[in-house]
Amino acid sequence: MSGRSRRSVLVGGAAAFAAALSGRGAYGHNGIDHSKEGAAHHTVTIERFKFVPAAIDAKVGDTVTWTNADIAPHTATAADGSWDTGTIRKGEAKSITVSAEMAPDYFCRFHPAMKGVLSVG
Amino acid sequence: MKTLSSFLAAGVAAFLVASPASAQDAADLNDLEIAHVAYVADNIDIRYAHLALAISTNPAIHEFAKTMIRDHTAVNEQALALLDKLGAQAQDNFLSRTLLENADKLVDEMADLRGAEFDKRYAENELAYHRAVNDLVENAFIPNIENAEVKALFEAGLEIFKAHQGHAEMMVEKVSQ
Ligand SMILES: [Cu+2]
Repeated sequence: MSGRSRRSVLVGGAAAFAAALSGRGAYGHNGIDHSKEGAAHHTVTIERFKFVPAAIDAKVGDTVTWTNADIAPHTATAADGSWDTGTIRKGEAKSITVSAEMAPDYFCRFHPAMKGVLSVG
Repeated sequence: MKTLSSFLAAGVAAFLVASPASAQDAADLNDLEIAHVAYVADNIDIRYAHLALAISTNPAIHEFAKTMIRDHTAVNEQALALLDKLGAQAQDNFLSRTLLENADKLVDEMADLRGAEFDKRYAENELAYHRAVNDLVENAFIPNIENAEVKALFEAGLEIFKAHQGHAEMMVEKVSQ
């Protein structure tokens, strides 16, 4: 080991960006909003390479919004390819309206290990 | 703490760069040098991915390579934005240079392969590369980064690269069948 000590080059303020990165709790978990008559609004946060919550129960006519809190872009895509939010970048949100024929199992096309379930009841 | 992380860093660095234990210590790098290594490491994986897109005809390899380009580009954009905000510039250093030299050799080597032979080599290298870089980031860089924003970005980056490591494991299995 060299014995020279590390130079401090960037000691400084911090909070905002760190908070922005870790402030993922800001989105409600399974917050269901019944603002329109009958139709509910479900929110899923994509954080740390997971859909949170991983499973949601929705009814035909409900909307589901996925918000990406990660730096990496993600998608929510039906396992059978029948529906797809398209690319959701950092800080972006994409929504779909639930229809009767929607396949429940979904994943991220970019990171196939990420899986979720959208049950239509 | 410092002794342990220096020890780990030396081990990781030796593995990554195949140099003797007398090599400079990755744990001695300052934040701006660490940022440079990470930027170079991201760009190396993007280079490997472009090589895969040019050579491979396997759709799964193409999807994987595109994800590597998309994610490593996103991380580098965040890193540049942060450095810009801090009014700082990444600093070139021994580890960045060694990584680049090794990558040059690997690209030359892989560029001669075709078909399943290429796919297997690419997937195995992606697994080994992410594993080595993740060890370096987790054990040598994150414990030593002094700036909280830089540290937060590295922690977010590490999550992405760990996901890539898992994805690469799946790719290795797929192309080894
Ligand atoms: Cu994803």
